[in-house]
Amino acid sequence: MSALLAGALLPLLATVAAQPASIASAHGLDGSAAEWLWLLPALPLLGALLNGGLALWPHVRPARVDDHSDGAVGASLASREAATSTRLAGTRWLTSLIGPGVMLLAFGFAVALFFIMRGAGTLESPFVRDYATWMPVGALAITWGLQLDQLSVLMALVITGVGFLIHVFSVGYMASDGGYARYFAYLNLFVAAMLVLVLGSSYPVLFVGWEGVGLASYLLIGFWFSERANADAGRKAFIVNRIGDFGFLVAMFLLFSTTGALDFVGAHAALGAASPAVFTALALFLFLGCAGKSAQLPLYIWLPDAMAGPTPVSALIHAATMVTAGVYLVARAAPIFSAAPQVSLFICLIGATTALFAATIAMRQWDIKKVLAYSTVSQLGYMFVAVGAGAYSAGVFHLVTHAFFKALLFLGAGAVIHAMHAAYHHAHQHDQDAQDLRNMGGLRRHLPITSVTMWIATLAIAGVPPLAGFFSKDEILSAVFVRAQGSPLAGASLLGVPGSVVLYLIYALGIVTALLTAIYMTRLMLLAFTGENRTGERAAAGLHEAPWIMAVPMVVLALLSVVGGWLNLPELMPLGPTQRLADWLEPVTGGASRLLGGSAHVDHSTELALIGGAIAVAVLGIGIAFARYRTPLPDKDHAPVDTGFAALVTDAYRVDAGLDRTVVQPLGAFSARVLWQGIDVRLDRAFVAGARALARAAGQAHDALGAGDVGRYAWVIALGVVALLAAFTLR
Amino acid sequence: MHDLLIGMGVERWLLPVLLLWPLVGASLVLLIGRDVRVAETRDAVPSDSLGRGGPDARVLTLSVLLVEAMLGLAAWFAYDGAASGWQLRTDWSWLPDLGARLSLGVDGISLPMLVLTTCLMPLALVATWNQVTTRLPTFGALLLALTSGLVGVFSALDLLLFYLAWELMLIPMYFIIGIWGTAGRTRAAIKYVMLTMFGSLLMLAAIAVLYVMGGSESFHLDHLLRIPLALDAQLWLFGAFFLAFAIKSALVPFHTWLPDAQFEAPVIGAVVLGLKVGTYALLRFALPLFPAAAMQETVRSVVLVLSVVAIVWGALVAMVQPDLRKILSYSSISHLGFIMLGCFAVTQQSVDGAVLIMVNHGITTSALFLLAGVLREHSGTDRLDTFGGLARVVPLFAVMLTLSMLSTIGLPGTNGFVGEFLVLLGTYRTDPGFAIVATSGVVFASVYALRAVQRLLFARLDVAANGGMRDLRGGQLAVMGVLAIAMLWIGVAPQALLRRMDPASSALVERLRGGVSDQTAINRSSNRASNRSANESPDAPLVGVTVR
Repeated sequence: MSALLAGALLPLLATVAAQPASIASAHGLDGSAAEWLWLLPALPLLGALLNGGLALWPHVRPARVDDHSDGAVGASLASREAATSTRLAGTRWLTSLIGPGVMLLAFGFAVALFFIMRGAGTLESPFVRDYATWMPVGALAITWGLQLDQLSVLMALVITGVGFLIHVFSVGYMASDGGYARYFAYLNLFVAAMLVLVLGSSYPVLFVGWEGVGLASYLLIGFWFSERANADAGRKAFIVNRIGDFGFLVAMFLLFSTTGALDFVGAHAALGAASPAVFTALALFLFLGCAGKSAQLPLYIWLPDAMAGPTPVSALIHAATMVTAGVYLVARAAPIFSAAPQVSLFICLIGATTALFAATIAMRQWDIKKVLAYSTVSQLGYMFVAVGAGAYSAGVFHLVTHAFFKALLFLGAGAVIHAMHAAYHHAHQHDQDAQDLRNMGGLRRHLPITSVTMWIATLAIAGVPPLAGFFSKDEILSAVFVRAQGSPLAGASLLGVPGSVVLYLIYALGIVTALLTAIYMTRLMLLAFTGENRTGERAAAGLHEAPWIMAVPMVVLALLSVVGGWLNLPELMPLGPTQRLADWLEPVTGGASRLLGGSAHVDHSTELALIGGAIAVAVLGIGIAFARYRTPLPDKDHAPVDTGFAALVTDAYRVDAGLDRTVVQPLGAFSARVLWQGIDVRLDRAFVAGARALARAAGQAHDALGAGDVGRYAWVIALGVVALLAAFTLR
Repeated sequence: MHDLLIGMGVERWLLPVLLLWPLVGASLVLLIGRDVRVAETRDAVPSDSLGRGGPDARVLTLSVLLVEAMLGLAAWFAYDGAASGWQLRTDWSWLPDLGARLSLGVDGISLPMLVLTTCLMPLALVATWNQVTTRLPTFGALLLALTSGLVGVFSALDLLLFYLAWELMLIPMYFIIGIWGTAGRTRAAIKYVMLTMFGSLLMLAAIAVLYVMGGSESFHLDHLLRIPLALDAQLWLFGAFFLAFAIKSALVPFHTWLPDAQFEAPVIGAVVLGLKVGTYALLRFALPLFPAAAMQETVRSVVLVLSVVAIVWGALVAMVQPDLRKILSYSSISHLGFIMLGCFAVTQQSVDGAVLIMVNHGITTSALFLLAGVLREHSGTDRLDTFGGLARVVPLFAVMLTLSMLSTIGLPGTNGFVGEFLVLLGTYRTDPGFAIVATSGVVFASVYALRAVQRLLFARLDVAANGGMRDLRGGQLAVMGVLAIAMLWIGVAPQALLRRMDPASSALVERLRGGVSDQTAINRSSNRASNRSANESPDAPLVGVTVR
C-alpha cells in the first residue's frame, strides 16, 4: 500500500509545474537548488515505492507451486511462503541498496541546501514553493506547498542524517527477517512523511506528514504482526495519536475561520489582531496534537508500548524524529504560542511533570527498551519545558542532541538484543527474554564497541560536560530560571498561581529529573554491561559484537553525541563560537522567543552557579547509581517482590489498567449494550412492527408477509408500478 | 476530448441513452442471455439443460454495463467544468397532459455521482463474478434495471421522472436482496421496502402538492424553484421530502434497515445500497426547493444534532460489531452524519465536502464490501473471529483492505480526508460546536477500522483452513487496483472534482443563504480578527445569485 501511496504522490510531486513564483518579492534562494525542494521527500518516497513493489511483486505474480495441490492446507501455506521467500531473497541486495541509498541521496541534498542557505546570507523569510493545488474551494486555497527556512533545513538534516545511519544499521539488524523489503518500504515511507511534516508550508500539508508518520509508526510497531501484542501496540499508538490529531484539526478549523488562510506565512500574518482568546484556544488545541505525537501527559501511554517494533524503528521514530514532531510544531507555530503566555506556561508545566513522571518509571524497569522509552518521554518533557518557556532554540537544540544520543542508545540496545537473541538461539533457549536487563550483565566483554559508545551516550544524556546533552539540558534549565523573574511569562499566571512561582517549580522539577536521569541510565549500563554475566553459560558462548554495518552507525552517533554541544555553546563557555544554533534560528523563532522571554537576565555568577549545580547533580546521580547497582543482582526468580509504592512505580503507576477499566471497557460496554443491543435493536423491532401494522392496515394479507413469499409480494409491487405508469402514459 | 465529444453532438442524446440503454440491455439479457451453472470450482460449466443457447447472461450484462460506463465517462469529459447551470440537457416530451417531460441534465453535484455509478457497476460485477450463481438472466436484468434507476435519479430534472426512477431503484433491489440474499433476506428486504416506500409515498404526496401549487403545469425543477412558498408550506413539504431522503440515506434514527439489508444482500447489492442517493436528492431537491425551511433555526438544529449523533453513534456501534459488513454499514451511518452536517452547514466548503464524501463513500465502501465478499467467497462468512493472521496468507488483500480502511478513517493522502476535512472546516465557520463534536468522530473511526484490520489481518493464523485462502487475482485484483487509484487520486488531486462542483455548490449556498457569498460568510464569522489576507485573496467568488 505504501507503494500505491507513493505511486499516487510521486507524479504529482514530479510535476514541478514550473509555476511562476507567486511571491512578489524576490527571495535569496530563487533559482537555486532549493527550487528542487520537492526532491527531498520524493527520494524516500521513491524508495518506499520500489521496496513496496519488491515486497509485493512475488504475490502479484505468485510462483506456480501449489496451485494444484489442494492437500493439506497448512502445508500449502508453508510451501507458498517458502516459494515467496526464495524469490524475495533474490532481491534482498536490491532492497539493501535502495533503502539506505535514497536516504544518502536525501541527506546529501539536505546538506547542499544547508550550505546554499549559509551562502545566501541571512534569510529573513522562508522560501516557499507551491507545486500543485490541493483543495481549492471558495476562499479556501490549500496547495501542495513546501517551505525551506532555517528550522526546516535543520530538521531535514537530522531526519535524513540520523535516518540514513539507522537505515544502514537496519541492513544488519533485519538481515535475517522475512519481511526485509516490507520493512524498508515502511521505513522509507516514514522518512518521506517526516520530511513532508517539516517541509510543509501550511498546516494541512504538515498534517499530511503528521498522520503519515503516524501510519508508518503504526505499520512498524506492528511489523511483527503475528504476535497479537505487537499489533495491539501499533493500534494503541495510532488511536492515542488520533486523539491528539483531533486537537490539531480543530485548531486548523479555528485558524481558517479566523484568518481565512492556513499557510504559515499568511495565517500567522493575518492573526495579528486576533483576540487573546483565539490565541489561547489555538495554542491549546495545537498542543493537544503535540501531546499526542510527542507522548506528553496524559497521552504518553502509547510510547512505551511502541517498543514492540524492531529496535532501529524505536531509534528512528520513537526517539530521534517522529516523537519530536510536537516540539517542532510548537516552534513552527511560535507566533501563536508566544501570544498565549498562559498556555505556554501550561505547556512548560506539563513538560516538567512528564519529565519527572516518566523518569521515576524508568528507574524501575527491567526491559532495556522500556527504560529507554520512558527516558524518551522524559527527555521530550524537557523539550516542552523549553518551548513552553519560549526558549524555542533551546528546545530545538535539545531535540537535535537527543536525536544523536537517544538514537545511539536505542541502536546500542538493538545490538545488545541482537546479540542476546543470537545467543539464546545458539543455545536453543527461545523462551528466554532477550530484552530483560536481569538476563544480561558483563556484556562489556562481549560487545566492547557497543559498551563504549553506549557509555558515551549515557554520559551525554546524564548531562556530563562537555558532551552534547550537558549543553542542551543546561540551556533549557537556565532559560527557565532566567525567565522566572521579570519576563512576560513570569507575569502570566496559571490558575491563580503566579508565573514566576510556576517557573521556579518547573526548574526544581527539571533538576530532580536530571538527577533521576543520571541514576536510571547508569543503572541500565551497570546492569547490562558490568558485573557477572547472567545470560547462562551455554548461551553466553553465543554472544558477539555487532557486525560492522551495525557498529559504524553507532560510532558515528557517538562522535555526534560528543561534539553535538558545539552547535550552541553558551556565552559563558567560549570553547568556540557561541549561540550558533540560536543565531541560526533567529529569523524563525527569535521574535516569538523575546515575546515570552522579554529581556530577563541573570548575572554571570548566578549562571555559573547554576551550571555548577547541574554538573554536580549529574555526577551525584552517576555516583548514586554506582553505589546502588554495583552489587550482584539476586536471581530473577528469587528476587523479593516489589510492594507498595515501589510496585506501583514498577507497574508504571498502573495507568494502562486504570484507563482500560475507566474508559476503554465502559465505552465498549456502552456501545454494545446500550447503543446497539439496547436502542438500535429495539428501534429496529419497532420499525418492523410498525411496517407490519402498516401492511395490515393497508389490507395486505399478513401471512403472505410472514410466509416469506418474497417473489409474490414483490411482483405485486412491480405490477402496481407498471400499471400506474401505463395508466399515466396511455391516459 | 471535450471538444471532440461536443463536436459529435453528444449533449443532445447522451443522458437519455445513459438512462435507457440499461433497460434495453435488461430486455436483451432476459431474452437471449443464457443461464450457466457455476460449479463449486471457479470454472463455469455451461449446461445445455439450463436453457437456450446464446451468450452467457453474465458476460452480456457486463458488456452492457461496460458500454454504460463508457457513456458515463463520455459525460464526464463532455461536461464543461467552468460553466454553471444544467449541462447535457435534454427535454423530450413524455406526458403532455400532465406537463411531465423527460427532462434530464447534470451539474457539478450530479455529474460525479452519475459517473461514479456507471463506472462502479461493472467493477462491482467483475469483483463479485462468482458470487451469484443462480437465475443469472434475471439477476443481470435486475442489475441493469437498477442501473437505469440510479442514472435516472442522478440526472432527472423532472420531479415525476425522478420519482419513477426512485421507485425503479427500489424494486430490483428488493428482488436482489430477496432472491439472492442470505438466510435473513426476507425480513431485511421487506423492512427495506416498507420503510423506503413509506418515505417515498410522502415524497409523492409532496410532489403532487408542489405541482398543484405551481399551477399544475410542469414537474420541472426549474419551474418548481420559481414558486413562491410561504414558510409554513415550505416546512410541511420539506418535512415530507426530508423524511423520504433521511430514510433512504439511513440517517439516525431511521438507520436500522441499512445494516440488515447490506448484511443479507449479495455483495453487489450492498455496494449499490451504499450509493448515497438519499443525500444527493436532498441537495438536489429538498434544499433548493425549500430554502427557508431548510435554514429555519429549529429544523437546522434538529438536523445538525441528528448528524452529529449519527457520526458518533455509527462509529461507536461499528466498534462492537462482529461482522465486517456490519462494521461497514455502521461506518456508513457515521459517514452519513458527515454528509448531512456538510449539507446543512451550508458553506461552500461543507457542501463540496459533502458531495465529495458521497463520491468517496461510493468508492471506498464499495471496495470494502467487495473485500468482505472475497472473505465470504472463501469461508461463507466475514465474522472477524473466524479470521486472523490473513496478512501472511493474502498480502495483496491485506494491502487493499488496509488502504481502504485508512481511506474510511480519513487519512490525509486518501480521498476520505479531503471530504471530511472540507465538511468539518466549512461547518466550523458557521457552527463550531457541532464541528468540534463531529471531529471527535475521527478518533472513534480509527478504533473500529483498526479493530477490523487487526482481527482479520494480524495476530496468528489460528484457523488452518484460512491458510488456503486465495489472494486477490485477475479481475478482483484489477478492480481493487482501480478503486485504490481512485482513492489516492481524489486524496491528492481532488481539484478535477472540486472544480466541477464549485459553480453548483456556490449557487446552492447562495440560494440558501440569500446571496451571501463565500467571502462575506468568512468575514462575518471572523469579525474578531483582521482579514487583510482573506479580503485580498484573488479567488473570492463573487458570483451573483443565479436562479435557474
